[in-house]
Amino acid sequence: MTFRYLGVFFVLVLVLAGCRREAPADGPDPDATPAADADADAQARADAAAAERAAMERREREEATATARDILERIVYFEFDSERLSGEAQEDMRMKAEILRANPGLRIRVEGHADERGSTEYNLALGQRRAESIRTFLTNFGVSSGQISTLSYGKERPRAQGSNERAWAENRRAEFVVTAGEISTVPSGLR
Amino acid sequence: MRTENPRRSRLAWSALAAASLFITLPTLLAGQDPEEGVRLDIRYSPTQQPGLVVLPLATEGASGAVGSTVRGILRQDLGFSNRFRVVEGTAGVSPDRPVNLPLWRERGADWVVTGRIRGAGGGMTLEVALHDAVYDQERERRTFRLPSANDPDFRLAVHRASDAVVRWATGEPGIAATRIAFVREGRGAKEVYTVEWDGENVRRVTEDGSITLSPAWSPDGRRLAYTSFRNGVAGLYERDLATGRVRAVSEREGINITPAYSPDGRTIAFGASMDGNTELVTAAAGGRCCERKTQGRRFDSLSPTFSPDGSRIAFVSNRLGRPHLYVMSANGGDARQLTEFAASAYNVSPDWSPRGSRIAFETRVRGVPQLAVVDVDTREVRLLTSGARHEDPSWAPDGRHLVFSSPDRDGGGIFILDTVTGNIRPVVRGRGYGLTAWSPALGDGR
Repeated sequence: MTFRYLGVFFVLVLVLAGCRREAPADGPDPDATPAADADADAQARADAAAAERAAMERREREEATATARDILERIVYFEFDSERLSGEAQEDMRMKAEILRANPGLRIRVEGHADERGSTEYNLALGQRRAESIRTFLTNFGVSSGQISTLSYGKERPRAQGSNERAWAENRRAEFVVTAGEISTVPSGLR
Repeated sequence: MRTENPRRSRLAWSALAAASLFITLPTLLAGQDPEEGVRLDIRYSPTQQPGLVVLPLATEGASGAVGSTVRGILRQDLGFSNRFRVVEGTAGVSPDRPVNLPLWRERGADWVVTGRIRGAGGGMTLEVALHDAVYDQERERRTFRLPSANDPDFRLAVHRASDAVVRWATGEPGIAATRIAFVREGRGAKEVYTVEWDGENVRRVTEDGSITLSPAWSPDGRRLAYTSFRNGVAGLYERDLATGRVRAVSEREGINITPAYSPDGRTIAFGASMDGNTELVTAAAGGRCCERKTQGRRFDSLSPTFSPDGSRIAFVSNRLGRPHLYVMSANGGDARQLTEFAASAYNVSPDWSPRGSRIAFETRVRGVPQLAVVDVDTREVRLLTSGARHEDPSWAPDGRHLVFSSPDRDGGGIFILDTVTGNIRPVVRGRGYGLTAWSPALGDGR
């Protein structure tokens, strides 16, 4: 487990907790009445502060959601002619699983890819194996299989051009595309 | 009626040529491992080919230009057949005088082709005759319907006449009246095209604006099955070439890839995602999908190809880790491994000869894809190419020529290899070509 990811989730937890506590401040105050000018000034300042706070919280919420989305869509890489998930990939996948479990309305498509070595057709099967390997991992961690569809592009959609180890490594991958729903609940952390 | 002639050595040449196909390379599979350092030995038998001359055609009604166009196609087809040495030197020969066979024999022609075009515009006929200069007699004669010179099927009609000459002279089927389907990459999309065997008349088949892969011909040459990503899955589709109508064979989630028709045209076999891996399935033509043929359990089966009698299917499986060729009954059941196991082997893209027991495939030699054939009965493997990348072989209807694609041979393109002589000629040149499939012989109206 990397500390960076832990940190991200720690922030998410705080933001989420903040949201709950401060939620009532979001709307207009029904008890506010136009009284003396001073009162009005104070009220205006308070309103401005509340609005600022609300905007900040919204920003934080959006940031948290964006971070969760980044994690969900983060590319997973594979070794040559293999669909095995590395330790790092598994760590990443656990966080993806958390996000999917917290948002049952979310649907993703896992797209498997291969490097340019190997035939077009066999690479389609290889890319599909990679996508299926990810689906299996996610469902083993409690994600509903109905949330995941799979597809393989084989070597048809390389991310990196070139016939070298670096390009090949970048192209042996699975991508994650949100096909329906959105992240409304950011998970409170890793267990 | 024809009589066999003992003096004729043409049959013997054919036999020699056929025998040469079974020269084997037992070291091939070991040779794929660079550490072994085994020298690859690709042998083709030198064949002495009979001389053939196509005389200027007589024209009644049609213009002389049509006559020379038709003659040009005939000469080129018969040269491309790799079965004759085309004799030149016909300048000044009048098509209206009787053919002087002894003279042509002197000039090295064993066979003399003459022809006559009658009519004009859309109602022409082409009469072709084959003369035996060795025996100073006419062998065969036939009249073909000939559409007008700007009709899209004009050249195909002439190709049929070429194929008749090949059959009369050798007893083997000609392969000129065919098209080659292939995939071409451009502007982020891959589409299916077809082209005549001589590189003429390129036609675009799909316009999905997506990734289209692995075209396969129906046995009647009227339909193509292929994979397309046009609807968000790697779906399998079948297109009627005359009407352009497209039918979805399978849009199951995952991939539906590498189709092949059974020889009776009733079934399409392909690889489809099932229970977490790719399995061979079949779909009845026009019927429901799919009947499962393999039980992989964590390994893949794909790229099926039927034996000519439809009773067996060869395919690719990675059940031993690396992709290898296997054969099983078309009804499913146990599969027999065809290519020997080697940790470094990579054998894919099989295509079963429509006329025998040989399967062409793509194999890796020091990481570079090359063409090879394996005999299903003896399991003997013969390597066909070396050097540049040679990919995705597909047999011609004669079971002798292979079409393939290469990204780097002579600047890339689609090529035809004669497995007897080793001759290779380009069909189309350039980058981005792949996944070739040779049509069956195309009859009238296709």
